[in-house]
Amino acid sequence: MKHSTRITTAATGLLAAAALAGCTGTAGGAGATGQEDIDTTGELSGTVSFQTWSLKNETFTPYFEDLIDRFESEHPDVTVEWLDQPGDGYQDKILSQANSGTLPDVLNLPPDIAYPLVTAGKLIDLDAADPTLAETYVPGAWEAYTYPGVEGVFGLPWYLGTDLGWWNGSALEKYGFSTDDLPTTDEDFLALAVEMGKASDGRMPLLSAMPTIDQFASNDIEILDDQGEFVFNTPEAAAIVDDYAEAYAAGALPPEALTGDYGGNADMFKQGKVAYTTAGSGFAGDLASDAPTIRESVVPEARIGAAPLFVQGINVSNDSDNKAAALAFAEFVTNTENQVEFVQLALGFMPGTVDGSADAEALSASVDDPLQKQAMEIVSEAMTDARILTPFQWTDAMKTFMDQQLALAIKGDLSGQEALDKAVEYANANRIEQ
Amino acid sequence: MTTTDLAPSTQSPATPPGRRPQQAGRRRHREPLYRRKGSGDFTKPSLPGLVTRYGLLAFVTVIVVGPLVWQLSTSFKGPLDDIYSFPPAIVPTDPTAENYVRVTDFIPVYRYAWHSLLVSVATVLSNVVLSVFAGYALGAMRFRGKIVVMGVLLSTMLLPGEVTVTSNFLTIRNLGLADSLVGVYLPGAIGAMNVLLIATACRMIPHEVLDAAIVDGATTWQRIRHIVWPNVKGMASVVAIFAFIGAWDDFLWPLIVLNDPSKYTLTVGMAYLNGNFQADPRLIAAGTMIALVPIVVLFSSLQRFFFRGVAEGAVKG
Amino acid sequence: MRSHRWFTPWLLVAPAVVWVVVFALWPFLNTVGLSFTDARPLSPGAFVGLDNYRRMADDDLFGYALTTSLVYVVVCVPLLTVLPLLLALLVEKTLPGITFFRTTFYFPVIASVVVVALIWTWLFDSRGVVNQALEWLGVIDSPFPFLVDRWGLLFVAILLTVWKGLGYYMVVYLAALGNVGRELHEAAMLDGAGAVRRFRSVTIPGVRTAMLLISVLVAVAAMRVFTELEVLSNGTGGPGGQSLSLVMLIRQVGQGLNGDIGYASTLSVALFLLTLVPLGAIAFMNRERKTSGAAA
Repeated sequence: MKHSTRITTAATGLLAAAALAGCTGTAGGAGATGQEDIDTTGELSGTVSFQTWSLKNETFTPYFEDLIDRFESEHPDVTVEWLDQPGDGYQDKILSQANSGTLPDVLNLPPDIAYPLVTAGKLIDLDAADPTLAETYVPGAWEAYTYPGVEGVFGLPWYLGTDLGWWNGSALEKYGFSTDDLPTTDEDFLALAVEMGKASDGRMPLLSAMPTIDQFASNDIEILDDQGEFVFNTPEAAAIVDDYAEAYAAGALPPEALTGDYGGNADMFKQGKVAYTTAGSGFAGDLASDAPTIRESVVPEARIGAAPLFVQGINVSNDSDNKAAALAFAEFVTNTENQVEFVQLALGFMPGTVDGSADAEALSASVDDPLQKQAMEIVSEAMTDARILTPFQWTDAMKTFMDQQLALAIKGDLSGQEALDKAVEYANANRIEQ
Repeated sequence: MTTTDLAPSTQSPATPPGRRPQQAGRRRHREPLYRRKGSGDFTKPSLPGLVTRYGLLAFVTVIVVGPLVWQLSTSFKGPLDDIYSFPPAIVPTDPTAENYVRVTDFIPVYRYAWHSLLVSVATVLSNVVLSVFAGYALGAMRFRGKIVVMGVLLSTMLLPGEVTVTSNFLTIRNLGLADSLVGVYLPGAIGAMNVLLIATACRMIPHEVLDAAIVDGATTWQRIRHIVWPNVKGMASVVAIFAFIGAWDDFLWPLIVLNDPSKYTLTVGMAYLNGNFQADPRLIAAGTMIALVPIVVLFSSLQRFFFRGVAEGAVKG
Repeated sequence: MRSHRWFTPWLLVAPAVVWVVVFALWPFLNTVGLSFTDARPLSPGAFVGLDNYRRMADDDLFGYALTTSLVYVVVCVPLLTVLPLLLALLVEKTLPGITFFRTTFYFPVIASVVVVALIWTWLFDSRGVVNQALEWLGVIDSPFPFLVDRWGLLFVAILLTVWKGLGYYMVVYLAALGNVGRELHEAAMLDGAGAVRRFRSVTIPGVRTAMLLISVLVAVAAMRVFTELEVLSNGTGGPGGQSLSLVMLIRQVGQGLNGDIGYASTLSVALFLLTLVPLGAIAFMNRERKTSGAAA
């Protein structure tokens, strides 16, 4: 969904954080221990600050203003202050808020960003606060906010997403391939990629990204064992990498994919440099805006392999002075009615509640664009089996390190096994939960 | 543009550097720009020299403006134009100025630009004034501990800026300046590099001149005002430009300090253009073009100052 | 000559020193402390002695980053000390349209990095303009993947740095050129000195202090190179991380809420100490030039 540049995104928490770590002597401790039930039924009052991530714009601002109005009229003594943070630099912002004790009462954090806050005792255990919540939300997403070694659940699932495959039809046809029987397994896909690489003499590669941790998980390779050790350097994983190396040699993967970042494959697709990418269903809109010509022949298909589940959630700060109202508002934001309304704007995402996701048809009812509609149908079908493929323990630094090693392997400077061994060794040396 | 300092033919070497050569080149003659055969004015290039010069200027210009042209073209592209086509299409097929209107609807560009301007101008002022003070002391005075001060200043230039962000945030918050434009401004109020730039310029002031002023009983303030300032004005405008651009372009620091969207600076506000679910490169391009305007204006107006120095130098000889 | 009371210079430098200590030195001392811990952003960590420093000594990525940064310094310092001077001389004279050119040459400095990176990758992409041109000229048979090759990436990044730096340092030279007397030029011309000799014997001595300053600034910036390599390699530092710079490595290790602050701090301390090397070299070469102003 986000196709921005990493340059600025590259959160700079670093030394900034460094200084912080030195200052927050009291952080640490596993989770909010001894936490009690929070009663939201009484008379609520006071101010609640609410922070979203990159959702203040033409589409969503009216939604949030209305949402807050309705909550405030239900609870006349409560004032909700809405803050929205820009997409770039979010981790830095969260970090400085957490360290200076100014975390908003209610905020939006995906499970991996929430984890360090959980270990620092900055977030409320929502399961303890209100035991009835568990059955309201989609189980897979609810569990995304549980962490080994920490008692509790720390986020209310808000909107869920997955992605699908996008094919450039005219590019396929140009080199004599058809979009009628597109491959559905990794083997066929790689075979087609090699053929196409040869046919186009490397001018129109099909592959647009290196293998990822998701892809290993999707091929049923175990990522973490029971002790939390990374163990994905199996021969099967190495074979996947070696296949990519072969495909690369055949011109099936553009050299630039070796240094591609998140969203880089979709960018290359928009530039007409590759014939396939994965992206969310909102990509139909991106294409309309950025590459209308390519959009004309684009074909959306279910992703090859298991569908990944992306989770966004709403969390409540443990530093909040007004936990009751904060929890009430967090529940309000994530209730079925409000979530359904939200995903009608956030096209291609699914509500995080059981009731909300039951009626997938309703979500695309208001969409006129056939391509968008088609993509949304593919996504809602994929959602039923989608699971979280990337464990929260897999950090940005580990991903970067693995990408660096895989790039060497695909270029042919290392074997797939060597590259994965190094990546696993690095990951185990830098585990975050200890 | 001006031809003011083309060729003042005679100069009085006696003019003290403290005073600007009044109207040195105000007389404008209709003269050819290049040097004719037999002309004694060596400051002008010969005709082939002039042609080469323009040739080189044009060459560098082409190298330099590419990205800007693309950005400008993107900002005028309509919904039917491909943005990322390869090779890039420069001329929009569906041109529109709509993006400039939309971007101002989308975020309060002018209010954010005003905030950026406040911070940037304050940064420029304090940097110029404080750098001249410190630069004078370091460049033209003798005192114990100078080496230590130089060392401290220099060493801080070696730290990656990101190192300081969060620690500075805590400092700013303890001062009660979190979520304020003053808090955004404060850490950049004076930069070590700017002090060093001015110190370099001060070192170029002939010692005799300063010594003479001391003999005449000029106070430190008078010396700064009448001798140092006129001599370092060129470098001060460099400092002004650097400080302005630094403050104007900063993203991470204002993002950390500011919470209230009504206080945002332009860079932070513009980050919304690149948001989740919708990111239109046309809007981003239009926004960045607007953000460029103050810098271009500032530069083209300040650049004269760099060259005023050229005329003065001639006088000083 | 006693020209001032003893405290006058201190009063003058006080604001700068106070600022620098509060907003730069203090955070740095913090960093030094953290380099001996295993801190993470939200946990203070425990004292681990020299573990991080030992880790650094064995870290392949640190070796690559060190090489990258040193190559950067060695290549960029001469280029960016000389080329902007030539550019400044080119636009120094007042000619019709010169304001336009002066402003234009400053554009790279203010151009958005995102846009610049996009253009640059277009140029050096495996199917980009440069590769097409080289193929057409017959220099290469098949496209050279500049952006995924260790030295290719470095080459392109250095080009980008120089491109961006030209206008920046040009401005400093323009300010300094004001101190080069016109008479000296004229006298030298009357003596029959050619352009090259005048450049060497009149211009260079006149801007010597500025050259020193600029080489220091370039060395510091080169040691800390980040943006160019980051955007050209999408933050990966190229295959194997072989084109990482030190600052990129610091970010890779320490960024985000899960960053390894202890090790990142260690790398920062190393960067700081390493930057002293080129600076010391430049300072040493220029020890004699304390009163260059008198020469003008």
